[in-house]
Amino acid sequence: MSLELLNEKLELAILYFKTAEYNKALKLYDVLVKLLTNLSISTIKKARKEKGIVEVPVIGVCVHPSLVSVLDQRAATHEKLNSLSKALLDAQQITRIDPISCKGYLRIGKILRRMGRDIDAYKSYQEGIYIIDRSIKQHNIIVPEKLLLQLKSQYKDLNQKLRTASQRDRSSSDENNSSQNRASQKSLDRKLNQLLPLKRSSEDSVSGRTKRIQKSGVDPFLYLSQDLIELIFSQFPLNSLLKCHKVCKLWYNVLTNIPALYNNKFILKPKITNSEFSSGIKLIKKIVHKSYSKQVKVLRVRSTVNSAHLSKVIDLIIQEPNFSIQNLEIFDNNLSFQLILSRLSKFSWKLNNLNNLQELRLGIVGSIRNENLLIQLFPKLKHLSMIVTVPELSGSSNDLLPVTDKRYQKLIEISLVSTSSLVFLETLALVNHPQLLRSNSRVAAGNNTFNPYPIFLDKTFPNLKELSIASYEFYNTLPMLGEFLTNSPNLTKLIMENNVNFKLLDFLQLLKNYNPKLKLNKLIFREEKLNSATSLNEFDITDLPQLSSLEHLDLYGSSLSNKGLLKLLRMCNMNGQLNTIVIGPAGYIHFKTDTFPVGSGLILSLKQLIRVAPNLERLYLNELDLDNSTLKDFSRDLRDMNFKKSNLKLLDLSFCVKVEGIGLIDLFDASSTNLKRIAKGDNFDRLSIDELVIDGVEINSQTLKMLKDFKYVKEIRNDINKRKWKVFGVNSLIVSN
Amino acid sequence: MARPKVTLVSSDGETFIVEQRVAERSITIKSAIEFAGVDGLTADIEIPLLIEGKVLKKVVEWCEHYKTTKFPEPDENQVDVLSRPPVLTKWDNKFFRLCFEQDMMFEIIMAANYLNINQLLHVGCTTVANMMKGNSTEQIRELFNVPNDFTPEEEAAIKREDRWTK
Repeated sequence: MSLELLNEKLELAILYFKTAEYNKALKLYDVLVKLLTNLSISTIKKARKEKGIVEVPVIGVCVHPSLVSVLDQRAATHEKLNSLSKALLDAQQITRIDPISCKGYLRIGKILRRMGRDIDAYKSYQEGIYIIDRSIKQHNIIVPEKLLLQLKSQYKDLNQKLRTASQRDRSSSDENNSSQNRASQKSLDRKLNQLLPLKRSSEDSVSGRTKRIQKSGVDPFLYLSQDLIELIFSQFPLNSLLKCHKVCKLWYNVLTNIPALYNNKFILKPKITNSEFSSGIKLIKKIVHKSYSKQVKVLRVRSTVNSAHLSKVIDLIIQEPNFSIQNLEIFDNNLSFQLILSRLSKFSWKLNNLNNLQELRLGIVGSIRNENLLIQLFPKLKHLSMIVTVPELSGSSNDLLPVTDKRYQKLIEISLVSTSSLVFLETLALVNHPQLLRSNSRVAAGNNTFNPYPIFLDKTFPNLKELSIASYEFYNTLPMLGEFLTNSPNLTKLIMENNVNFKLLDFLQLLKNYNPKLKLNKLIFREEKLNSATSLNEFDITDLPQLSSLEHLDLYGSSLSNKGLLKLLRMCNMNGQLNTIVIGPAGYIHFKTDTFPVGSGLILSLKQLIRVAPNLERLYLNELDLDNSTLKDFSRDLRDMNFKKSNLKLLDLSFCVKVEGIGLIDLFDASSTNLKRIAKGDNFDRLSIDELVIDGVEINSQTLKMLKDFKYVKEIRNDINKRKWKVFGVNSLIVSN
Repeated sequence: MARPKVTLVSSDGETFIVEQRVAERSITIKSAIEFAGVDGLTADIEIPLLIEGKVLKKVVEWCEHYKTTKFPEPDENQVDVLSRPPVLTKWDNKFFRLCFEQDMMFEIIMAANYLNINQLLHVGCTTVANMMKGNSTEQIRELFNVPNDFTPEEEAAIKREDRWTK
């Protein structure tokens, strides 16, 4: 907007004000404030330059040079219209932007006195004079002399007035009996002390260099500009910030004005009640509305106290005014997609706050019904996770469906024939509860009970990058998955866990048959149970180009034989990018142990692994039948390879329960002779890695400390109580969340 | 010829003669020196600063101590700088402990900001943050001598506002 146009509007507003057309003036001022506060920083700097003032002020916020006077004039207009609280807000805004604005403090004082809050007015004058005087002294700043004198005289007058008033109080209390007298005298003193909050600090600057041992408290908020306050508080977690809110009004106002401090992420406490949530919304809105996007970036509901509260919380999430949400996550033992549909029906399918939803994560009871509605309702979704946390066999959530709602019926009709998809969808996670599988439940799967099959496989999501499916039934569903993969050329991460009737061999054959044009860099395939051993003889090493660029391969639970594993590793490392391998409980993969010492063909060595995947950096060998003698072999293998050829950074031996401290000592070859050599400063080649993880196994802490002290390992994790995959009952996907 | 010296002049006329590399801990001074001559510093230079002598003295002390230390460059792309707060050395802790008055600490932070000494600025801010951490609201008020100006009603309303968190 041009300067002339701005000035024209400003002049017109002043004209209205002078001719007492306050409502018209106010409208114009509103427009002006909006315009001036929404300018880009470069425009502001330019405007300041044109006005001949410094581009960035020494004190205060960098704003358009006209903003302060426009705010002051709007405050005056509000005053005329008798909306004193609005006037006060504007005036306070002025001193926040420009802490050395005499005008601002004069205006605040005037309004507060009109409100009958003389003491507050007095404090405001005092604060202003203090800050301005200091700034003049420290930064050689020039303020309009006339206004400063006016401020000082107002302060003096009011001081006089308050003092006479308190003396009057005192003399009247003299007439009472002595004990009461003492008490009231004390409280009066306290009151006077409160009146002079800055007395001590202003004395400090006068009395100069006298030494004080005790630290004198000074309010940082009176000293430091907003960006420095932001810097100090930017490392505060939310709870500490909330504590600081309660210090005083200034702190509260300044902090809630810096949305960056709150990260725009709001994670609610578990078992929240409706009223706790609704009072929280007030604060969240206050903070979010100062932010650039004016949207809640993340709202996470971890659980509510009961189903009645859950419904009310969902209602608030949908229809609370000005509470637009980007990422919504709700986990609750009473939540179902059906419930959300019924709430939306109540609001005539107006999505309100969920209109721009980009991420939806729901932890729900029972299976999803009418999943196609998700596509209709939230077409902008980038991330979608549906996690069944409670196995509801009866399908009673279906009773919540608003079946009598005509619009609902219409929506269903459309969704059934519609070919629209989620064109922005990048990640999709579908996690079923293991008890909702055909084989595991006493109730038959069906339309009114539960659905054991993965949903959405008949859809096309052209931008999908990551797909996770866990604990579903793939009986007769594999061709659909084949088509789905063919239609997902951008897929790079695939996670398949604990799925029934879906073996690793099935998956590899699917890739070979459908030959989708995708390149994975991460594959997690954890089989549900041990099947017959497979050596992948039916595959050529070049058969699976989809896996040739893999970086991360996770086979926690697989039916591969040693030979099969090595072949798969070779296929996955065609482009030499494989750096992470996870091998979990696998019935046919054996390393050499004391009890399984058989000859070469049947056992696997670390040397073989590293030869096939020379760039291996992270190796996870979990829940395997390894023992101390295996680790001794590992040590020999690594030494044979001269250590330097191994890029190993992390070794995870969690749940290998036969491993003991002595095994680890052998692995690193930390013999007492070697320890002595190290202590002497002898620098010889030896195994040294960044991280060793050995959860679920009891290891002498002295041993671990020694490995760390002698720099064999930088970090060691040893959590004895860690839970295994599957032991938790569901999937690692849930555990990790 | 001896290396040219930089003289820093405080707002109240105190002077501090320092080596160029000490002065150039401050990006503001560094650009002032670069501005003075393209060929680098060839003669002694005097730089007036809007900082009180007693504050400038502390800042110079800090820069002297760290004149050979290399600090990581501030990453412009990093969204919030203090998500990884700087590590305070024992010397830093002592340096700030010796500021008997909090206002001196804030003066140093403001000076570091004005002089653009990134590390000192962050170390100062972290010190202030550490003072508050783990303290109750009342303790923070006492620490900074801030009066509670909420009415009981307002205080209750603010307390209600955070019931949604832990």
